[in-house]
Amino acid sequence: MIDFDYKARIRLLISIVTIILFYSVLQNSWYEIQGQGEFTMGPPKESKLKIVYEIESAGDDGAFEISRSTPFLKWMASRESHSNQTSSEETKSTSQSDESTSATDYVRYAIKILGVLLILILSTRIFHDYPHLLKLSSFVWLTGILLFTIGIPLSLSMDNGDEISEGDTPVEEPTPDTEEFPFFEISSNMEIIFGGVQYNFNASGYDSGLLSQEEIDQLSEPPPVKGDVGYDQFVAFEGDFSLKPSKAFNYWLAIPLIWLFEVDWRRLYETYTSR
Amino acid sequence: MRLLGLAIFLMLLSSVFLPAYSAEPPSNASWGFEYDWSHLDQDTEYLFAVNLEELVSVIEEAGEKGDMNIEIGYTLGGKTHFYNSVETSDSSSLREVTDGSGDKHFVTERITTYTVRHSTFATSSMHTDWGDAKASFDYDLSLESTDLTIIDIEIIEFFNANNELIGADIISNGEFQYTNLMGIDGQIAGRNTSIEFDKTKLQFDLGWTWSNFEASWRLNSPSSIYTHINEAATSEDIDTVAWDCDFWEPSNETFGDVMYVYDDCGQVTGSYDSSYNYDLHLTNFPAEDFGLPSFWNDIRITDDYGDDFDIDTTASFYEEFYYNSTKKDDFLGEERTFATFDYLPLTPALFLLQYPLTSFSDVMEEMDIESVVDAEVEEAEEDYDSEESDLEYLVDDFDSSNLERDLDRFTEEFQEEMEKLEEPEFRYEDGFIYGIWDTESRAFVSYQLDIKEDGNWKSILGPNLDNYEVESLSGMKTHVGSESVERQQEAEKMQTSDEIMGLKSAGEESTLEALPYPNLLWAVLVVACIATVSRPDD
Repeated sequence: MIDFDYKARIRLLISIVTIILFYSVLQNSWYEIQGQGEFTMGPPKESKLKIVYEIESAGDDGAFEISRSTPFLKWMASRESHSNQTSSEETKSTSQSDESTSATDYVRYAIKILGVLLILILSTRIFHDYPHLLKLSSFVWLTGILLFTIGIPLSLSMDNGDEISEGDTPVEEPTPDTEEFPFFEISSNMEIIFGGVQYNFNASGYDSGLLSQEEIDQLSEPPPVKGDVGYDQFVAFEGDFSLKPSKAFNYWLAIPLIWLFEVDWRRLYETYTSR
Repeated sequence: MRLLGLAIFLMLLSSVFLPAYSAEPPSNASWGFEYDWSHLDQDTEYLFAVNLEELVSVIEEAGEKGDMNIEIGYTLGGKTHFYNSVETSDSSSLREVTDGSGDKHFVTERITTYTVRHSTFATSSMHTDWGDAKASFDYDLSLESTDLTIIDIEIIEFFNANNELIGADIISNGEFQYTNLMGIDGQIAGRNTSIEFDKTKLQFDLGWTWSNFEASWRLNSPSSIYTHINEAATSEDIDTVAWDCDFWEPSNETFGDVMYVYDDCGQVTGSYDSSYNYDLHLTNFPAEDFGLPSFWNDIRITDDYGDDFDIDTTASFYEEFYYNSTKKDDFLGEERTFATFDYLPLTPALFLLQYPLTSFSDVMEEMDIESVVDAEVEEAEEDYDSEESDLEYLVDDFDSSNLERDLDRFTEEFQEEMEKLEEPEFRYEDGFIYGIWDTESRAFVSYQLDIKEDGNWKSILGPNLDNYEVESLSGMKTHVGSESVERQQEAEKMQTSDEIMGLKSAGEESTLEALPYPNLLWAVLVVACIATVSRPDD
């Protein structure tokens, strides 16, 4: 017969809350790669693109949104070399889907195992207070944080190494081929955000798909001014690109908060004041 | 002497201001109709001898012959309100208007108002399943669509003391919105592969609005077109008036019973804001099963674009007014003499209507929804990876299954049953629409639609000046006179689909439904935690 004293009840509660939080971890998105930007010059001016790629417990999910889409779609349709460009993109995007399983899947298994392990350790403490079990729980939890913040992006880079090194996202985006964009320039900077990183970038170049060879030969150093050859065909894009753990990470972070119930605050206060 | 001079001056002044022609349209010169779309089933059966429920039964029964279970359900609803009224401004408050040549005129105003409110909804659902040893499908499809039309147009025509048209102003706002949501749940399966649709949805919304539409039409010289139309309505010598509205020196000539009226109709200038929007949103699409990258799971393409535009165009058109008959009637509350003119003659007010109603063309040049859809289909084809897709295996399984045989059986049965049904035939042999002209106020004040059934003419819309048998559709209500004025005022206030359809607003949902259940669960958990911790040991 288990003696459900105050301590046991607290530990039972901690286990139940941990199970609920870990269930929430499994039900929500784990890691998010999000890119968004806006065309600021050229035929697709004002069009905005947003791409979201999410790693989840059982697979991955994505979303793609074009707002103020008409100029962008008309531009894509009007480009002479559009089909050649997209077919090269297609090769990239499909190749990533072939390879994007292994390393990321290992991390998925690891996080799931850590969650189950955490619940087992905390549940054991209901029945028997082995020494160092709470420290072990903390170690498991910290390992989980490392997997969320470092393991997943690392596994993604292993799975999609070629694409990322070329500046592509794991999902398709209209990253231009520099040959198609004379005077193509890109500048970027990186900043640390909560749990992840964000890249801000500006890209621009003349769209050769809308220019004759004679006009291409007459192009001047960007940025062009109104009246210059290629001014209307000069495409500029500003955007940012972030990699960070998403909602499930917050649930994982919240797990040890419930452990604070176990602290005997009165005794702690008395010890502190007696000193 | 001074007093005499002042008196003469005032008399002269009043002779300038006093319109030579002073009759006004009846105070309740209004007509309109409402249609309740929930009666569409009955009216379709009445008008075309087609029973929609019977058609559904035929499809469901034909499905059984093809070893398919098909169940179809649908609901239709909504309302259309259309009202048109004509009134004259207070003649004691004359206004100065400058015509296209720069000449100033003191004018009276005749105001024609059009109010249109329309919103319908249609929901349909279909369950279908079929299967044999090699392939099967089992789907629940749903379709919900609503549309909304709001149009307010006010046209103010200006007349000088000789009842000559100086010009007109138009003010308008309008909106068209269409929303469509398709849902699919189910599975298509082959021997070893299957594709599952789990709450897959395709939302497609499309809209166009115009606002602050203000345009002014000023003729270069006053036109006596309304006086000449009245001649056709009241004289036995003239039956047709042909109005050549261009850059002519104002004049008229008569050949037989046709009077030709030539006018210098000047310019139309103005401005308006116009915008369009579309939203194409595909969610929970099993992209990977179709060999597409995962971002196709949720793809959204939207645009919401607006701009302001100017109008500066010449007013040039040619129109004929065909007199038909003259009748006395009191349908507007007082007995007057009305003349009917064939068709819907292009009056100055109707001429101006075209500008707000076609203003979409400017903004639509920016939007090309067809190319948007084409671009996405092309994109999907380029993204398609046959090695990742189960589609080809499924196609092979379906090719080797009995689906084609069963579909043939379904089609044969459907055709056989359809042949047994009554041939759809439009109930009426002929129809005719008239413009109703008030000979006293010299204005078009209403319209009338007559239809011919079994050799007999009947009146279906309007005042029924010929006292024909009244024909009515179950969903249709027509209004004239003061009743129409009241209805028009009510309709003008309707701004949402719910208001047009007479439904409860969304804000009136029950408090219970609005409770945030996930937050409540967390609150219960917090209370449980506190209770557990605070409870002392026994």
